[in-house]
Amino acid sequence: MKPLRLLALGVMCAALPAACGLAEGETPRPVPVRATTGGPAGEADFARECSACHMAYPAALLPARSWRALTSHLSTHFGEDASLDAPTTQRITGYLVSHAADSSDGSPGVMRGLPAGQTPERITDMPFWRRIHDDLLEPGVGTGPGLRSAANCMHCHNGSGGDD
Amino acid sequence: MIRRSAMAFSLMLLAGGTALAATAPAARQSILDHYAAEARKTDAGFKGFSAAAGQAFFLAHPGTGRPETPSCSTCHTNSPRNQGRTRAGKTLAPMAVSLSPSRFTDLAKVRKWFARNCHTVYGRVCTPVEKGNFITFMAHQ
Repeated sequence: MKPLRLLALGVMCAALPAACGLAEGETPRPVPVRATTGGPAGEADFARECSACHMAYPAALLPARSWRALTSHLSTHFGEDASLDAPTTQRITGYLVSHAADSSDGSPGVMRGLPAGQTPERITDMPFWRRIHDDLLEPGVGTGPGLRSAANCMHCHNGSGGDD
Repeated sequence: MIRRSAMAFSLMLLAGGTALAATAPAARQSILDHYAAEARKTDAGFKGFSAAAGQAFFLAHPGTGRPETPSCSTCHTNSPRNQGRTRAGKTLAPMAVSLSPSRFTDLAKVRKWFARNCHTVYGRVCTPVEKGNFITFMAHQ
C-alpha cells in the first residue's frame, strides 16, 4: 500500500477554541489530504468544481461506493443543485474512486467500523469521523455563524501546516 | 541593457493589464447579447435589460425553490457588494462586477450557475430576460 500522504493542517481555532471543541492551545489533528499536484485524470476537474462551494474533501475519506453514489445525483446534492455535464462528472468520479478510502491510497483507519452494507454520503457519517469529532455531535454545534456546518472542516483545520 | 529589458517588461505588463481590462467588459457584453438574442426569439418587442428588475429578482424570496435556499441572499447576502458564504462555509467573492471584474465573462460558467441556482432558488429555469436583467444589475454594482 502506498503510504497515505498527510498534509499537516494543524493550526487551530485560536479565536474560537470552544466552537471547535478544543481546549485553549489544543491543535486539531491533521486531515489526511492527498497532494493535489501532479494531476491524475479528473483531479483538476475535482479541485475546480467541488471547491467552488466547499473544501475539496479528500477522496480518501469515503469509500469508492460512496463517491459513486454521490456523483450519481449531483443535481440533488445536500439541498443544492451541483449538477455538471456528464464527461466532467465521469472524470471526477474516476478520480475520487481511484483514490478512495478503500483504494490503494486509502487508510484502514478510515474504513474501520464501516459495515460493508453501508454507503454513507457524508464524511460526517463515517464511523472514523464520529470517533474523533464527538464534540461536534453535540446538539446546536454547527449552527453558529462561525463554523456554520460540520462540513466546514477548514474552520478548525485552517491549514497553515506544511506539506506531509 | 538591463534597464531596457525592465522597461520592456513593464510595458508588456501594462499592455497585458490593459488588454485584460478591455476584454472582460467585451466578454460580458457578448453574454448579454446572447441573452438578448434569446429574449427576442420569444418577444419581438424586447427593448433591453433592466438593472432595477435584476435587483428585484436578486432580492426576491420566491418560495418556489428548495427550502435550504429561499433566495439568492441565502449565500450572496442582500448586497452584491458583500462577500457571500456557501452553506458549507466557503467564502464567495462579491457578485458586483466592480469588485469582482471577472464575473459574467465566461458563458459556460454563467450557464452552469444559472442552471443550478435558478433551480434551487426559483424551482425552475430562469428566462433569458431574467438572466440579462440579473447580469445588468451586477454590472452596475
